[in-house]
Amino acid sequence: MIIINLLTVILVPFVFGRLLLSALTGDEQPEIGFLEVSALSFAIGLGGVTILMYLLSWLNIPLTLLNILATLAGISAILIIFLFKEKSFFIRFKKPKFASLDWQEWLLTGLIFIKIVFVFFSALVKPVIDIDAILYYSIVAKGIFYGQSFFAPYLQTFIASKPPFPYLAQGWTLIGLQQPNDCYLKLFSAILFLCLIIIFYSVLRRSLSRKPSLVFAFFLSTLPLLVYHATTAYADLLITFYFSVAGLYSYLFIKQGQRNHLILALIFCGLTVWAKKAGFILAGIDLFLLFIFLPRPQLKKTIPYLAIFLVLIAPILAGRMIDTFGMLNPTLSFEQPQLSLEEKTSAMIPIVGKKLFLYADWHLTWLLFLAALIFFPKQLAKTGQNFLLAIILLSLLAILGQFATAGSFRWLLDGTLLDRLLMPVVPLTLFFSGQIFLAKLDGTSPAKGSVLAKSVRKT
Amino acid sequence: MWANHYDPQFNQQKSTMFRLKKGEHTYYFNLASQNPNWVGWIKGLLVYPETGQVEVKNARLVPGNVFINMISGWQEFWGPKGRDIIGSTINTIQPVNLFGQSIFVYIYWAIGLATLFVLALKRDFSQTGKFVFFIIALFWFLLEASSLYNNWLAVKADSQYIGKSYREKLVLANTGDFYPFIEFCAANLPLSAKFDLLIPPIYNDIKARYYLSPRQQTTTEAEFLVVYDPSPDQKLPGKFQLFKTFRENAYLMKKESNDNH
Repeated sequence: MIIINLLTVILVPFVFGRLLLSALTGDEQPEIGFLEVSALSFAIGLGGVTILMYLLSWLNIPLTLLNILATLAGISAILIIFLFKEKSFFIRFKKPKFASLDWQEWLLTGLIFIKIVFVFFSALVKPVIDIDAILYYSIVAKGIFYGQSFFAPYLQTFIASKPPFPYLAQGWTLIGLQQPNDCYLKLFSAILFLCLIIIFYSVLRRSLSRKPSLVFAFFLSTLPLLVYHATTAYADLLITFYFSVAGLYSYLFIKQGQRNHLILALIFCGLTVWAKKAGFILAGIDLFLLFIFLPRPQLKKTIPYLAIFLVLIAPILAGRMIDTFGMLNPTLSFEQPQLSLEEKTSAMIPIVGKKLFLYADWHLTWLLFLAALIFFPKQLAKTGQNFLLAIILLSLLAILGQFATAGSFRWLLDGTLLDRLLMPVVPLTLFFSGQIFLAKLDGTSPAKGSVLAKSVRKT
Repeated sequence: MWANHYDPQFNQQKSTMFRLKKGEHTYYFNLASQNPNWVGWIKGLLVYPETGQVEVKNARLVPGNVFINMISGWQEFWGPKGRDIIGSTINTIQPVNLFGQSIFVYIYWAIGLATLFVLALKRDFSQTGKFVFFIIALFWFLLEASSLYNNWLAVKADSQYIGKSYREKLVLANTGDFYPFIEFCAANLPLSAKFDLLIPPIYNDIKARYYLSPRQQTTTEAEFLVVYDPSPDQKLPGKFQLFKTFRENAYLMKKESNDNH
């Protein structure tokens, strides 16, 4: 029985996401592969299910499996009719080519596979044991399961003003399972980790050959803090996933100008806002830079698409769930040492340096990033690379600025918060470094696009 | 752990961790290189096994030499710091240490010196950049080999959950008889009950709140009080009377009705 329930938990978002993806992007994905579509479908579907649960709860409709499935079925029926009318029911995939792998590619694929197996095992074998996950998220998921509502007054003491995605996604797991078995509350973290690797590899693959793309997908799969969070029921992996995917498709849109990339970027930006408080700022940075780096003639055509983002975040804004600027409000802080900005900055630099370079969170990501900046400065000005660099630097600035100006300074001093807050920026940093280094090593220029990407565009 | 004349207490700041192997073994520690708090007059040493018992047959303080330093470093490198998840943290992953320093310090030195050497040899910035990528990738693979060993340790630790029922997993995930006590509470508290806790912070109190959900914890409207091994400074509020007993120091209390006043 639990297997059927688990399949419900996974397949419902997947199928719903598949329909949403087809409806939103249509039949315009010549580059996209089956795995990438699957990863995108699941991620969009999970977002769709949680938004729907939020709205149902807002309308005082109990969050039961029947109510959720009936509403999803109704929306899916409309989507199917629309897709048949538009004759775009199926996205045409790039046909998979199973060219044989050499031993290095087998090794890389094997190592990625081992890490994914480890993540799923570690996530699913035991109950939630991380005290922070219990205190902040899983207790609400259990409350949603029993109380059939997201807005029950008792739950609000735990939710505070945090965005609802992690609570509702975990709540959906328990509702779908029909039992409060918290071993499976980490299921979505593990699946999103897998989806992130697939999408990261697929986007790299558009401009690089297979082996270098596998190298960087392997790098991503090994990041210790990311791997650890893929086995917990916390919100940092969620925001990292949605922000990274938003950044990757924004990058593709800037490089290639395809409408579908823009739509995907906007959907994932919207879902970033649903994932965690910082999502509002990070999505804002992504969108701001998207419009800054866009060629002027495209700007006018692009602006109407912003409606996708606005519609997605409207329920949160309407519900006044977000108090993003509360993070920057010193009155909310704990007792703070009275330090000037200069004093804080000089206290921050050694801690940030130590955290970025001497802890095991990110292996050698930040050294690779620095080396890319130092050794290949000419690459930085190229289309796409400049956007990535700007999004990394602005996001870092926003994260560090938060410490310099807000009540979180003590969390920086005691070394507890910075590592996690940096997580959303890390996959993009790795992707950027990959583009810079591998463009040189792979003999392709990211600015012009690889032979593969060019041939695809010609078709 | 050790006590010195600056700080006569045994505590974690003045300690080093190492793995114990089964059987009789000799362990070497260059403590000065592993912990900067190995200073002053050492007043006492304490060997504190996390589980089980150990017997120290012989211990010697000797001047360090290359052999001892190498073995001590090897032991430190494969030790628990940076490998085991200690407690439950979502915040950071500690690095593996060697001679009291993060392993990354040595890696940066190696990469930096190799880069300077290649730059001097080739005098080409772009070629050196490519070399830098390869050497970073090499060290990345080595770090990952170390991480895979950590993952293996985590799998070994988690293997206790394999094949167990959900209830058995919950019992394993908690210490002592805490989860059976929670089951006892759940059996005696209605789902709509409001309760307060008298459980020492900071893990079991949070877990009790979680496991007993949807029953609500409240300090002002509690009808029941959940008591589990309270610390001496946690005083029983007067308005509750004994309701059900699980064992000594683990019981449920119920708010006195107005008729009793």
